[in-house]
Order: sequence, then structure tokens, then C-alpha cells
Amino acid sequence: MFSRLRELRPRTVWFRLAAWYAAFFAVSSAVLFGLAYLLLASSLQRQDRDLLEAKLRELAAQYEAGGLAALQRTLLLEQRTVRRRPFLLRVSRPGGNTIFMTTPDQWADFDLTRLDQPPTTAAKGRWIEIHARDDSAILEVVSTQAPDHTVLQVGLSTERRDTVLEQFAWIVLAILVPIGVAGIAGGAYLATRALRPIRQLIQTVHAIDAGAMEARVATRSTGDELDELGVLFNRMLDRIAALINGMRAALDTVAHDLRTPMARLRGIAEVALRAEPDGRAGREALADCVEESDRVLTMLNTLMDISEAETGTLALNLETMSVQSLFDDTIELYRNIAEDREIRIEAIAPSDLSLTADRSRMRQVLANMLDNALKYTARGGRVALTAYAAKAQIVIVVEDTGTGIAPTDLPRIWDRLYRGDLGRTRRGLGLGLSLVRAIVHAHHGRVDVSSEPGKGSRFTLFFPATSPSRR
Amino acid sequence: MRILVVEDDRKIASFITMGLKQAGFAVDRAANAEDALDLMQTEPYDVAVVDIVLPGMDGLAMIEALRRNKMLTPVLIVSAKRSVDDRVKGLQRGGDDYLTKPFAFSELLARVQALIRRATAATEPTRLTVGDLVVDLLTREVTRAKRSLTLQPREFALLEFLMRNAGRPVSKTMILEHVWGYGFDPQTNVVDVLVSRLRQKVDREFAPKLLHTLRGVGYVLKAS
Repeated sequence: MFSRLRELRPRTVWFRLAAWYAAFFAVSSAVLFGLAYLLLASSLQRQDRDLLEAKLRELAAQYEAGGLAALQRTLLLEQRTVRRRPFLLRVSRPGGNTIFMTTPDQWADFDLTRLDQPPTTAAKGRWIEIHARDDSAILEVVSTQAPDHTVLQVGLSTERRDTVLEQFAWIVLAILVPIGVAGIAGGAYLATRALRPIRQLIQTVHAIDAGAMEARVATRSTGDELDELGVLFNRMLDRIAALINGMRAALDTVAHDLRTPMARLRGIAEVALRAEPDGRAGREALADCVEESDRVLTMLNTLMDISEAETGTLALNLETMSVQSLFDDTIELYRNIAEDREIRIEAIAPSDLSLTADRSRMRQVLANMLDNALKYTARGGRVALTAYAAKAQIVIVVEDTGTGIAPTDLPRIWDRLYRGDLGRTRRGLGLGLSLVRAIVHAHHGRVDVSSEPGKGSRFTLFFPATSPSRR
Repeated sequence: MRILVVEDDRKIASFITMGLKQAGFAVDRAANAEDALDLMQTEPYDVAVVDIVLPGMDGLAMIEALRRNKMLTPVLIVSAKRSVDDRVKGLQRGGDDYLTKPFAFSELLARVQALIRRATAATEPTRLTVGDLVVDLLTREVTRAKRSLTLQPREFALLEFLMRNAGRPVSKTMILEHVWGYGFDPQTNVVDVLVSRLRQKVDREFAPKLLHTLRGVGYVLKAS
């Protein structure tokens, strides 16, 4: 009820919509009736004039045939036989001398001396209009000249016509009032109906504002614009909810993963403080503390890198580089480790294959991929880096003959801080692959993985061949 | 050598000051940019270590004021902002080097020393010597107790870096940056592996040991 009252304020869309509708309705009906009035008026005038002209022709013919006497006879006969509309008849000499004139006495008071004025304008033809002295009616007069120069004039007052038009106007007015009311009611109804989805949207937003995050707009699947708005709004809410849940989960894992090294840090320091002062043991404890805090810092830095890359705020220094040189750099970094583990690293990339990307970030991506591959590959295994151009893409594949990834883990390996059962027991933050994906996405690329437990994994990175524009 | 530390956080300032004093520098501290500018007017400093976020005038504005007054004291910017843009901005406004917080002290020390070296334009040595270990930078020959050692290129690069910083600890991050040119920390410790290989060749059959691991700090090459 409150919201209804609020809608009556002139600022609301509801009010404006209803008012516009009613106004449009009223104006168009007014125009319609106005036109009808004008048409009726002009058709009545035409009727009268046709009548007068016919009468004039008839009387002129009689005058020609039998003179004034014949005319008077006819008039007398007419008055007796049929009740005709009374009209004015004047017969005069060209100088203005009236020979004969009949005027119905119920007419208004016209200045009949003006009958002698010759018709002035050509357009009006032989018609003279004389306004009544009280302006209540107009006398329309048509003239003709007989061959003997006698002027015959026939006239009709518009009084009767005016009465008809006046009645018509009253009827129109009587119709227009209910039409106006109907217009307002219709406008209100239409506005209410049209704004219903918007009101639902507002209610949903209010509900979300009040904390009901799961609230959604009711859609009617009519496929109209407002329904589409509702669907889009719901989709946006779903996305936001997913993001918030993702962030909440990530925050939980971060908090959990930070607590462990922090607890260790605190424990080491506390034990060292409680023990008897011992230079050597104290130094050991301090070294442990530094190592733990480095771990925390690395984790935080990587998390920041990931979120910067994901939100698109990571600045990329794009340059064109040979993929082969990227492979060489990365392999060089891990050469010793691979040798120690007796793992063979192979690299196959066309020498002319180049990629436009941030070199330092790409090194980080490849180092993480190779790091992972080496970590999960047993002694004597093999890791292969392959690159090739396919259609509009540059594809980089990192393959290993390692332990592989369980199918249940496969969709989650890109998640932050996710470590498979195997990964938990090994050193690592569970951030490497998230960072890889975030950086590849920042380059407008995508990642893919397939794996066969026990046989190995295959990670594929796709980059657009055309240089990605800076974000 | 005299160093000015401009840092408003008392704990960080004291740890930098203490570390630099231990390394043999004379150190003054200013808690804000205005005090620092006053001090630099009166005292000749070899290097200034400047935090960007300061109460009142910020570090970048302070460096600009310094350069406007035609003072060429090398400035090492220390900041918690770690994006490339911030780094570039810091260097463009007159800083000479940029270090992100939190940092390993050994890295700060190495950068301060590099700035001093650059400013005093020390001549480039052709031979580096630590104890009986000799590296000839021209012929790339390495000998220990007159016995020739065969090193792989990365091992040579690491040894050269350690010898240039002989007696001063270098962190893993610094090694990654200088030996491989990598600005990030790979998960598997590639530095450890390279160091242990170098140690095999340099120290295994000789005494005394020259290459020492300082847990939590890094590595140091020293004769005693």
C-alpha cells in the first residue's frame, strides 16, 4: 500500500506512464471528435447551400416563366402544402429597390440592408453572409440575376444548423468525460502491468540488500525485453554468487594454509625463547623462522599475482619472442634437477615459431609446468615440451610420464591451493597451476589437461597467434 | 661510507640501521622526508635508502626535491608496492634502484653496495681471488690451490657472483636473478641444486671449505 502511495508522486515512472497514456488517449479522442464536428458542420453547410441553390434555380425559372406573380403563387402554394424550412426571398431591382421580400419572423434580427451589397470576393461566389445583430446566427444568402436584370436572392439562417451542432457538441462532451476517465484507468492499468517485472526486480534487489543472497527475479519466459532483463539480472546474480563463494572458499583455504606456517613460526620462536639461552640453538630457531616466513611471503606474492592476473590488473610487457628460446631458458633452469633425477627433457619447437607475450610471465608459466612435470615423474622418466602453430593458435604442450592425475582431481587442479592426495605429501603451495592458468588467461589464452593415472599427464596451453592487445 | 635511512616504521628502520652498521656503514635515520632533506643538506651521504610511503611528503616527492637541488646522492627506493609500474615510476622520478618490501636484508645490502660501486666507478677487476680460489674473468679459468677446475657455464656464473660478493651473504632470490635472470622463485629449489654442484667442485677435495650455507639467509663465499 505504501508503495502504491509512493507511486502517485509525479516523479515515479508509474505516474508518468499512466499520465502520458491518459493524456494521449484524451488528446486523440478530442482530435477525433473535433474532426467529426468540423466535418458535420461543413456537411450541414453544404446541405443548406445546395438546398438554397436548388431553390434559387427553381424560383428563378418560375420568375422567368411567369414573373413575380408566378413566384408569389408558388410560395403561397408551398406554405400551404408542405411544412418547409422557412427561407428568405427577395426580389429587387439592380439599384437596390426591393420589389418583394418575405422573411420568416422567428429568425434573429439581421441587418437586411446589407443584402444590397454586391458579393465581394470571387471565391465566395454569389454568396453573402450576414451576421445577426446579436451574433447568434448567420444569414447565408445566394443571389442570381434574371434576364430582365431583376435580382433574386434566397437566404437561410444557420440557427437550425447551430442547434444541431450544439447538440452534437454536448453529446461529444458527455462521451469525452467517461473516455477521459477510462484513459486514466487504462493508463494506470497498463503502467502497473508494464512495470510489474521492474517492481519484482526492485523487490529482489531489496531482498538481496537485506541479506537474502539467494533471492532471484521471477521470470515469465515471455521473451520480451523486461523478461530478458530479469534473466540477465539472475544470471549476473548467479555469477556474483559463484565469485563470492569462490572467494570465500579461497580465503578459507588461504587462511588455513597460512595458519600452518604461522603456527610453526610461533612454535619455533616460543620454544627457542623458553629454552636456556643457547647461541647455536637460537640461531637454528631463527633460521627456521626466516624459512617459514619466506614460505608465507612466497605464498602471498603468488596469490597476489594470481588475483592480479585474474582481474586483469596485471601489467603485461608484451614482446615477441621465440618459443624455442623460452624452452631453452626453462630447461636450462631445471637441467641439473632433471639430471639428478635421471629424467630426460625433450623440447620440440619450430625455430621460427614466435609468441607475443610477457617474457618474464611466460618463463614463470613454463617453469611452473616443468617444475610440476618433474615433481610427479619418477626416476628414468621423460618430460616433453612441444610447441606448434595450429590455425590461429600457438599451442604449447607439456607432457610427462609421471604419476598422472586421478579423474576426480582433474577438474580441480587449477583451483587455488588445491593439492591432490599425492601433492599433499610433497613440497609445494598448490598455487603453481592456478598461476599458470591466470597468466595464460591474462594473455587471452586457455589451458587444458588430460591425464591417465599411472601413465602421465598432458598439459596444453593455447595462445592466440595474433598478438593479444594490452588489457 | 655514510648512509641515510628514511623510514617511518621504527622497527623496520632499526633492523635496516642495525644491519648496515654491522656491515660497517655509518648510518643515520630520518622518520620523514622533511627531516631527511634537512640532513642531506648538511651531511654528505653516499647512499639514501628511502621508503615511498612516508607521513607528509612522500618518498617520490622527496627524491624529486633532491634532484631539483642538484643533489646526486644515489637513492635506493624501498616500497611495499610491487608492480612494474610502481618500479618504473620510482626510477623515472629519480630513484637509482628499487626494492620491494618485505625483502631479505642481504639483498638490500648488495644493492646498497652496488650503488656505491657505481657511484665511485671502481675499475672492473679481471681476476677474483678468495683464499686459494682464483677466477680469471678473461680466460674464464678457475683454479683452486693451483689445480684447474672445470665448471659448467651456470656454475661459473654462480661462482663469479659469489666471488664478487665475497664475505657477504647472497640470498637465493639474488642468485636466481643474477645467474638465470629470473625474477621469481620456482617451487623446486634449483639454487640449492646448483650450489651443491658448485660445492662439489670447489670444496670437496679441498680445505678449508669456502662456500658456506647460512640457513635462512643464503650463501656466502669466504676464506675463513
